[in-house]
Amino acid sequence: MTGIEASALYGTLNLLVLGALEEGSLHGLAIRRRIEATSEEVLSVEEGALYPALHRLERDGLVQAEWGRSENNRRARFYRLTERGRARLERERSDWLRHARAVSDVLRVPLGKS
Amino acid sequence: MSSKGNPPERPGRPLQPGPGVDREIEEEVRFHIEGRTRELMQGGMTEEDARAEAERRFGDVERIEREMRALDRQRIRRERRRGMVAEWVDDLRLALRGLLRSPGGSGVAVLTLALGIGASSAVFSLVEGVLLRPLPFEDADELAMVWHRYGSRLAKASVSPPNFFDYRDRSGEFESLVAMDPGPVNLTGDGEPERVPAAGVTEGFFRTLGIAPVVGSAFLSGDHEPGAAPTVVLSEGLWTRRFGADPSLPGRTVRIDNVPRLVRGVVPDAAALLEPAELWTPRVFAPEELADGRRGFEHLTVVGRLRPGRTIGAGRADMGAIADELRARFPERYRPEVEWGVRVESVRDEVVGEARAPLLLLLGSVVFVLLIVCANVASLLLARGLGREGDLAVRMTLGAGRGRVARELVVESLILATAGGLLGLVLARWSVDALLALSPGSLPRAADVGLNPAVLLFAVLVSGLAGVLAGVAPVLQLRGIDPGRSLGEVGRGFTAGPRIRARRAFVVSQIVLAMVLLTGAGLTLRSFANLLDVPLHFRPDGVLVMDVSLPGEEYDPVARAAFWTELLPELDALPGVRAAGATALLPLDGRSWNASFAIEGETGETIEPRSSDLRVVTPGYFEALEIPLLRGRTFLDVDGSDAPRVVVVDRRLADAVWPGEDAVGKRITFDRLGDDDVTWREVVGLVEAVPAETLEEGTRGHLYLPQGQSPQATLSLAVRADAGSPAAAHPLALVPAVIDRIRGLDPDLPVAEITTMEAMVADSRAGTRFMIVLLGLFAGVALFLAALGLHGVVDTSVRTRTREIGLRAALGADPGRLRRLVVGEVLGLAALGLVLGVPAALVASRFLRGILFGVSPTDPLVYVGLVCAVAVLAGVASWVPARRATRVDPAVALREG
Repeated sequence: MTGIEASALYGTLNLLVLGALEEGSLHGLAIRRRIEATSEEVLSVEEGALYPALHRLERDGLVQAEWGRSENNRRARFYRLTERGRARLERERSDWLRHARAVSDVLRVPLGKS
Repeated sequence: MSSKGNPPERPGRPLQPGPGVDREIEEEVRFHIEGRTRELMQGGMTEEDARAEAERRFGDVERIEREMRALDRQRIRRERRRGMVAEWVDDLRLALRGLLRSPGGSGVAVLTLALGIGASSAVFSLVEGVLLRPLPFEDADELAMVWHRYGSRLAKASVSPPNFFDYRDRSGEFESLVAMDPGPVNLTGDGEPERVPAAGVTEGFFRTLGIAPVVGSAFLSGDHEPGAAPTVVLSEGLWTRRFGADPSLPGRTVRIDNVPRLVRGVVPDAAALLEPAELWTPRVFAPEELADGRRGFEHLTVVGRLRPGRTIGAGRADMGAIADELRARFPERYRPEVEWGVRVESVRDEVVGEARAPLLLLLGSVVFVLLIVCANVASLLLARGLGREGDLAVRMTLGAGRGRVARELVVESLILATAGGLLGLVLARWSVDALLALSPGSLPRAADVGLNPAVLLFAVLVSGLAGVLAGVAPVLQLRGIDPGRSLGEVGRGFTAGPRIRARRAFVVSQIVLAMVLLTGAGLTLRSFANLLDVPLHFRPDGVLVMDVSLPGEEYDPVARAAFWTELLPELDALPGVRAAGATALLPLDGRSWNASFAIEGETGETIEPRSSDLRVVTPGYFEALEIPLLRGRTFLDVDGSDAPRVVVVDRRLADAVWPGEDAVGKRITFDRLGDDDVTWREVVGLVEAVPAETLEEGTRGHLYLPQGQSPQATLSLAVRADAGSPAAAHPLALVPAVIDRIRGLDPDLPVAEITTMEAMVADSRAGTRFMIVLLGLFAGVALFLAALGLHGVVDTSVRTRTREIGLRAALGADPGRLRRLVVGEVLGLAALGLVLGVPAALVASRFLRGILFGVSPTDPLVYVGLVCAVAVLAGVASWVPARRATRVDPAVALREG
């Protein structure tokens, strides 16, 4: 995606993960499902790419992880946004929107909900 | 599907990378793959196909797990680092809070530490600047100075020109030897006439010292040829002060003693370290100066550079061999009984040698003070610890761990030490200024002293050391705290717990250290008293002195004699002046001048030493200083160049040379006996003996010559004020009138070194006075701190024994017994301190031997004083606790238990 600072969030995958966690804590599989709804393309590379991304976000303090029980009562590692992660998400979100609007204006493609 | 997770299973997090974390990673990956497999199966695939597809979609498991492991390791590292920092911040916070809870105690501790750290930093800055810093010469260790020596009577005498050239030309070990001929000169033109110290130097002077010019050059090779155009090299200080550091000065001329001299260049002030001078001129010797008859005219300061790799010992042997040759060549001049020899000393020893012992002594003393300070602070911390035992026990029970608590205690003392160190540096800054102001003028390299990085490093090290030392005791005490037991016993009093024992040990050691310092101060004080007692045999009060120099180019010997003959009666006639005279060197001037002589009627086998201090004086000199005339007469105006040669001797010389006889009428000569043309000089007067260049040297024999017969260019004028006149108390009041008379004879003659004889006498005592003030200060501080420590221990003891005392009081014990209980404890500690302190003081006082005057290190008076001091200390320290012991209300005491 041109026009967006690559350094802003080292890849859209991380941003999507943050977005996915906005409403609560999820384990990796559930995160994949939520993101799946939005973009097949991202996941077609490797599903496993999700996990290094999650651990990187954890290392940088944007998410926090805990072991818990899944809906099937299996042990799973749940991820949750930290305060820092939440703030970062907000910042990146507004940046993204600005750029997207600019691009859509130039291309004369209306931005809409999908 | 619920997106919320369930509550966490485990509260803690694994903080170590290792199998635990690796397993979790595997588990997480497997969960995903299994879950994906199930999803795909729901879509209709078989389990086999679903799993294969799920694994394919996941990717390279190995690689991904590896990446996750690496990320987790990084995460754990970061968390651990954060944890440590948080711990340290916690420690700091807790420590600060603990310290602020007892602000009084903490304040006292900080102040005491500041005192110790500041004082030792100040003294160290002296030691660093004077002793440790390298000398400003290149390869300074190769430099040595050469002196003449006369047995034990005269350790260092200047060298005569003929001898200097012999040393220079014949030396095997010295790469080069140069000589300085010091003497002030008049600087005129370009401003106010000014008299500055100067020196004539021989060829290669600056090169030998290893000093490069700042601007311009040093002397060129032609400058030392006879008849060369006059040149001069200036010091940086003079160049800045008088010529505004003008870079175009080399090549111009300046007027020195009324002779225009071409300025070759400017050198750093370091060139004057060996012999004070602000400018240097080439010293060229006239042939008659180098005659054998002049080997007794000793006025050159000689310094040389040894060949690389040669030792001082080799230099000594070298010069010694030349001296032996000279002794053989001139047996009458260098008779065996004269004990003449050559002495070689390294320049380093010359510059700092005399200051080394006193400065190291001061450093040792201040270290003692520092130790006492640490003991005090440790004691203080222990005393506070008494109340905190419960608190610490609670923390240890809650899992803080002994290590953590110990660390916090150390942090506390380090905070105290840091605060003390910062405050101490401020104190040190101020103290260094005060020290320099107080120090004797003879302190070498005083300009190099200051707060520089080396001193700061020292202060930091000392602060750290103090913090650790002071903190060790409370930490060690932690061992005595058993959490289970202490919680139940908080508040119970005890008399002989380890805490009190430690504090008692501290107090005793403080007393010992204080006693050592007191001994040093006491011995030095007695030295000083002895110095004060040294008989001067002249009256220094009410005498104004100043140096007047008549430049050689304007004043030939006849003119010089005439000048003084005219000036002195005019000064005599001034109102308020009783007598006026002049001399080449005043007593206690710090410089010496001696000559060898022979007496009439001697044969070759006499055994009396024949060298003495030489002084050229004018009529009126003895009267001005009120040196008693014992027999015969002093000099008169008739003793001029055409008159028979005369001398005056002092009692010391007369007793040594003509024992039992009347010295008046005897004859002496400076020439060699057996020469054809011996000039005999008759002794016409006998005066009392006065001190030579320092008080410690005592009085030596003096030979006085009349100015009229040996005219000197520079004399020190002495003017005595009328007794009872206002100037008698303030001789400097006479200055305008005296200068006026001098200017009346020659308007261009500046005068220098204007001071009073009393000031000169005080200056000669300044070194010992300096030591006394400092040692006395240290001893006073030590005594005060030891008293505080003693008071504190006894006070605590009484407090903790309140219950016991109350019980005794309730049972009818009389107050006297209670008081004795307390006093007994004090006396016990003090006695122990004495018993240990006296031998320690005896041992330590040995180091004082070098600087004492007229006092033995085992002087009984001082030690008696010591015992009295400790007794007073004990009395003062015990007074308050003793009173408190008698006031204990039994009811309250019993309840408190």
